[in-house]
Amino acid sequence: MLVSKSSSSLQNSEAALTTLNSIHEAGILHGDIRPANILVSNCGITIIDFSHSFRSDDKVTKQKEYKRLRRLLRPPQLSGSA
Amino acid sequence: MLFLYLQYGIYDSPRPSTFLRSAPAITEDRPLLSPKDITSYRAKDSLTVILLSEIGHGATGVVHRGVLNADDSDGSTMLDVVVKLAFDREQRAALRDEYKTYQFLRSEGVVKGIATVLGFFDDSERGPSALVMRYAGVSLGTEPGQVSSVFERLVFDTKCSSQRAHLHCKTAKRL
Repeated sequence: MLVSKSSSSLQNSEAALTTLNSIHEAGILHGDIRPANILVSNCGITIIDFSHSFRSDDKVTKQKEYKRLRRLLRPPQLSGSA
Repeated sequence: MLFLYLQYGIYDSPRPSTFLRSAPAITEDRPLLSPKDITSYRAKDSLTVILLSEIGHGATGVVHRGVLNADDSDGSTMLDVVVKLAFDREQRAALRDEYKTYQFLRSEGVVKGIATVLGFFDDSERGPSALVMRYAGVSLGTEPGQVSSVFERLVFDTKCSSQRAHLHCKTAKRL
C-alpha cells in the first residue's frame, strides 16, 4: 500500500511537472503554483487558477511579480540557505 | 444562456440568475460528454447549473462547486462543474483574462492537465461574470505556496539561461 501510494505521488508529480513544462513552452507563467492549485482525480492531474498568470515575455508584469514574491520570502529563503 | 441556481447554506433560489454566453467553450476536439458532446452546444442552447457549495475565494472571485444540467433535444446531461463568479469590475476583467489564458493555451496545443472550460458568461443585468469549468478533482493541499511560485520562476529562468548558453555555444562553434 505504501509503495503504491508513493508510486502514485511520483506519477502525480511527474504529470504536474509535464503540464507545467508545456504551459511554460507556450509562453505562460502560472505565477501561483502550490498544492491547492493542483487537482487530482481518476483522470489525472489538473493545474487550475491562472488568475496570476502572465506571458513570460511580459517584462513589466514579471518585475512586479518578482517584487511581490520577494516580499513574501524570508531572508534565508532568498539567500538559498533554507 | 446559463441559468444559475444557488442551493447551499441559507440559499435556495426559487428562480435562477440568467447569464448570457460571452465566450465559447474551450474543449478538446474529441467528444467530451456521453451521449451528447457539449462542444456542439450553440449559443442559444441553455445550460442550467445548480451551485451546491462554496469551495474557495480567489483573486478573481468566489469559486463554487455545482452540477450542470444541459437540456437538448436528446435529453439532458449531468456534469460536475466548478463555477467562478466575479463580482466587481476588477474581478470581472481578471476572470476574462483567465479565460483568455485558457484559450491561448488551448490554441498552443496545451490541453492535457489544464481545466476544461465550458464557457464564459456575463449576467444579463450587468452583474457578475461566470467562468464555468469541468470539475477536476480535489486539491493536493491548501498550504501557502509563494515559495513554489518563486521556484517556478527560477526553473523557467534557469531553463532559458541554459537554452541561451546552448545557443551561444553553438554559434561560437560555428564562428
